[in-house]
Amino acid sequence: MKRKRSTGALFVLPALVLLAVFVFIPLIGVLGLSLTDFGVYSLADSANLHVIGAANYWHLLRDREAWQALETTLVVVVVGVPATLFLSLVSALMIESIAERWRGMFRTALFVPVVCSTVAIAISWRYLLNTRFGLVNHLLALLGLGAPDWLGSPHLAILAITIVVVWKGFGYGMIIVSAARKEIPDELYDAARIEGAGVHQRLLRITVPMLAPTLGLLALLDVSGYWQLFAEPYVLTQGGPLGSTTSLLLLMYERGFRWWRWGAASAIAVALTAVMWLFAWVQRHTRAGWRGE
Amino acid sequence: MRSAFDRARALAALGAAMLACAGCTHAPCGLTVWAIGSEADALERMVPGFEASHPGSSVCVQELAWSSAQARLLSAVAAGDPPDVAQVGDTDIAMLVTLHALRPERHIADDFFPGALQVTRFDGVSYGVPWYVDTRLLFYRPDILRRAGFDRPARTWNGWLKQMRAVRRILGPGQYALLAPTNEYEFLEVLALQEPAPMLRDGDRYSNFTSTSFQRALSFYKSLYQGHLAPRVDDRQLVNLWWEMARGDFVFYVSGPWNIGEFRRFLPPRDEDLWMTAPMPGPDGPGVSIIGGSDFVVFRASHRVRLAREFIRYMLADEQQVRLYELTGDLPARRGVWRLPPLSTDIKLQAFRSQLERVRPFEAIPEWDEIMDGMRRMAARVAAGDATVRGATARFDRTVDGWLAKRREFLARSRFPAAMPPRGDSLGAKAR
Amino acid sequence: MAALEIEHVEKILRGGQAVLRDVSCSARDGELLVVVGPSGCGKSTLLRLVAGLESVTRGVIRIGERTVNELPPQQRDVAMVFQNHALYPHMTVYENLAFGLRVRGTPRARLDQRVRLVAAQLGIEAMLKRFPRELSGGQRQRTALGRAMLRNPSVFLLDEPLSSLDAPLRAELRRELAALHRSLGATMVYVTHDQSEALSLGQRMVVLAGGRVQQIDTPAHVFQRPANRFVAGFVGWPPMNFLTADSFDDVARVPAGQGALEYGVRPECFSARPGGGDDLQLTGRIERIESQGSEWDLELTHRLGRVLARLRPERTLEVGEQIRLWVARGHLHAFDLTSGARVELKP
Repeated sequence: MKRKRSTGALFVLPALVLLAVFVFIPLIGVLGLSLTDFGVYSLADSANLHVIGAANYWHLLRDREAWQALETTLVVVVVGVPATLFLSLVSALMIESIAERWRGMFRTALFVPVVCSTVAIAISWRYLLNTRFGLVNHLLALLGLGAPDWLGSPHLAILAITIVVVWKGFGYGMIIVSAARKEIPDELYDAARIEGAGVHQRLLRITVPMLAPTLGLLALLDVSGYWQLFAEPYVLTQGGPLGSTTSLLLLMYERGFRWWRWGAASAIAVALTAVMWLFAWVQRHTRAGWRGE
Repeated sequence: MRSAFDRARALAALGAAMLACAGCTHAPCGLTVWAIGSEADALERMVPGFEASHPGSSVCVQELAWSSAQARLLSAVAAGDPPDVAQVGDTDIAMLVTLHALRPERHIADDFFPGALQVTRFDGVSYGVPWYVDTRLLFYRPDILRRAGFDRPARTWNGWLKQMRAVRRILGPGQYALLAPTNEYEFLEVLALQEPAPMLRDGDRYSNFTSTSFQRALSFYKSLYQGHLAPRVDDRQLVNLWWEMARGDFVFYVSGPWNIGEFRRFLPPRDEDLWMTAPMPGPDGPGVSIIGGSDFVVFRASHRVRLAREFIRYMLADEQQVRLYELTGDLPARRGVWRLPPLSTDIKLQAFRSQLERVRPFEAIPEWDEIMDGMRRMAARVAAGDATVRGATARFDRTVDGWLAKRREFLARSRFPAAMPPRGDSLGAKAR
Repeated sequence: MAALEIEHVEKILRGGQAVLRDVSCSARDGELLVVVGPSGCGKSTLLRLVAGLESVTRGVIRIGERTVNELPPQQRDVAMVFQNHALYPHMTVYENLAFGLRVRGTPRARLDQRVRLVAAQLGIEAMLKRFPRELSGGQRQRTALGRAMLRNPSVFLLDEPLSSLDAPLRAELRRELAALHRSLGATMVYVTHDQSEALSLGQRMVVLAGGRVQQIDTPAHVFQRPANRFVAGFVGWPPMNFLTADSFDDVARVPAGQGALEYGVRPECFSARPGGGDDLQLTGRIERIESQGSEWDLELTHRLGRVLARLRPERTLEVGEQIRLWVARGHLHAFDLTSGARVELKP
């Protein structure tokens, strides 16, 4: 028994070492940095490095831009994650009902954004969303609707970012949901049909609850992905207009890697990580009793 | 304290070593030069000439991207392994000087534009050699201006405002008198530099954005957007601004020298007369503008100082300065070069030539980029009507004072004393 | 409760492959009809046609007085128990049981009463709050049965309900199922590939092979008078030996019918000593001996092949020994060599 345990430990060791070097040690480093005022001047002369305790965090709490970035990030998470899950589910189920020979084509088409470079996607969307020449506004005009200034108005810009993020992300969920859907035995649907469940009841009482663990996992992945929103606003809007699309990660990037305020940027990183852990913890402990067989 | 610092340095060194390894497969280099973007390409084409004229020397040019150049230089310095020579954007020199990374420069030529030279100088010592320069001025549509009844762009803000309003009346819907993209801070920086009071005070220790000077500049800036003379757009929202300008969507456009090349690239030769350049108008007479560009610096850690200086001297010779212009459109930093064709013959360059004589250097401190970016964001709020000039500047003053706290502390204990000289005013005053 | 009638039913797949051909059979009201056949014989398809999960190509299915061909499953008033139980893994036992009534909008109080009653009948009251994965195989099976019972359907369809259980449990549940059938008095169609299950359970059994009905009769008749060579070989364990007249020692005494025949002898019909003057003899060499407790299975090679005999020997037998076996004429089955149909022998 004892011997088995040590053998097991030996197998885990390489992964642990990698984790330690690339995750735990940097994490502790960041935690340490967040308690200092480390910046360019400290690099010039270590006499300029001070441990300032929680000051970076206090500043963060009173920092309007940080609150705005939190709001922006939360909007993308709160609107984007359910939208992504919904589209993943609906597209997975719809693709199943398409004739077999077209299925691959549709699936590929919907999956392509996932594997495309975010930068390329963001640039394409910049053209699509162009106020005067963009396809989106052209279509809206055909419907007799106005021509909104997608990337120029603060409220629409965050919506546009969310749309792009969801559009890029849901194909992945679709593939996962598709796979999970195939795992549901046909017998369950046969049984439900005989029991008297119609199409909608089968969907709501069998398909959706059976996919719940998968959707839960996707939700966790999406939340952690969207919580780290960066590339889309970085390319599409550079955080503007009026800071409306500056995500927490973008704010951290700017403070850390554009303005060299590593202490302050580390505090944002720690806060981001803490919230993510909190979310994972809550998610873990509120999962329904059924976790699949 | 000391050990924490050492650890950070060690970590930085590790990171830099990993990055460096990606490019360390070359044969040993006599001289390592880091350059950025298209300038790196141009440099690479000019290196063979240098190697031919300096037998036995070999130069390796490594290309950086503009978006990451500063980070690369910073980690290289932190790791103690910088190149011998680097091209550095002139707002980035202050950071490297603060880190004691650069070697003071010797005299190379007499005819640099004084503004360009000044931003390399700290406490009377120059740490960089201007390579090419850059400034902002007006691109405009002479034909539309004439239709509105004006021969040439005005020289004062008021005259300019009058022209823009007149022009506005003959434009169609969706067309504007001025394009000044809100994602660039340079236009407002120019307006602020045209006012007498500097944006920082007390040896760049405190913010001075509540000065009446700055408030006047910001009010003028705000009136352009609020008066619908300029659209509040980001230049990334424009699909093809040269084409839009040729269509008459904008009459004035505040931009830099690279756009001469861009206009010619995107518009057919027959449209050459649709656009022209002119110096910036000022509050009450021809206005100053900003000075930008890149400098060559030599790192303190370099053991090949002599060769490095030879290299820089070679690149600043007339022939190479003209060649650089031809390859990239970068404007020569030496006045003498402007007497040679094509610089002397291109009519659209002449406004730049005269504007470069009328510049006011920015405050060369490590925080300058951050302050300007903050100013841009603050001004965008004001232009959008989300904040008043007074309220926004007061708040911004506090923010900037916070950013400068470390600098004040640093200056108080620094080995090079109350460092930077009071700057800018002498030149600006002369220009006016 | 209602009778089930299946008349001339055919099922042909889209590709043209016939799964069922001209199948007719019926279950009387309250009868337990067993459908047995090797895998791929179409028995599960037959059940799915009755349930309405698939549609017939030709023929008529009637439940009670109604022709149900065009009715969707939920309107046929049938319940089905699946091979792997098909319990909803995300629902508790209670929810599994209640599902059918719940989707039909039954009032809560009545539903609760029904669930508890059925759970009590099956002895799973204590399990109501558990999830299927927390149940033993037998408890799952009972839950699946309970789910079928809950709506009091006219016809129960059971698709190999015991095949996923181990042998002792299978026997136990088989008895319970038989008892349940008696107490419910319900019409049941029970599909299995296991002929011993069919023999022990059914009131009547339908032997299905290659999509065709081979025989419909009581288990005793099917065993005693298999309608053809297939049924003879499929029903009964160990399987029947097939011999030609030449296999026997005294060829001339083997009773004959018209045409070429094949003869069948069940292993347990051999005897180690002559029973009467008419018995046929067969001599062989013992190749293998396998004890079945009180009986022995002997594998013999005789002149023309091999044969399996199950005996209760009076002395010790050894491999390699020559042995003579007797078969009473009455235990001899005869089948037409070409059609495989049963041929009645004249005594």
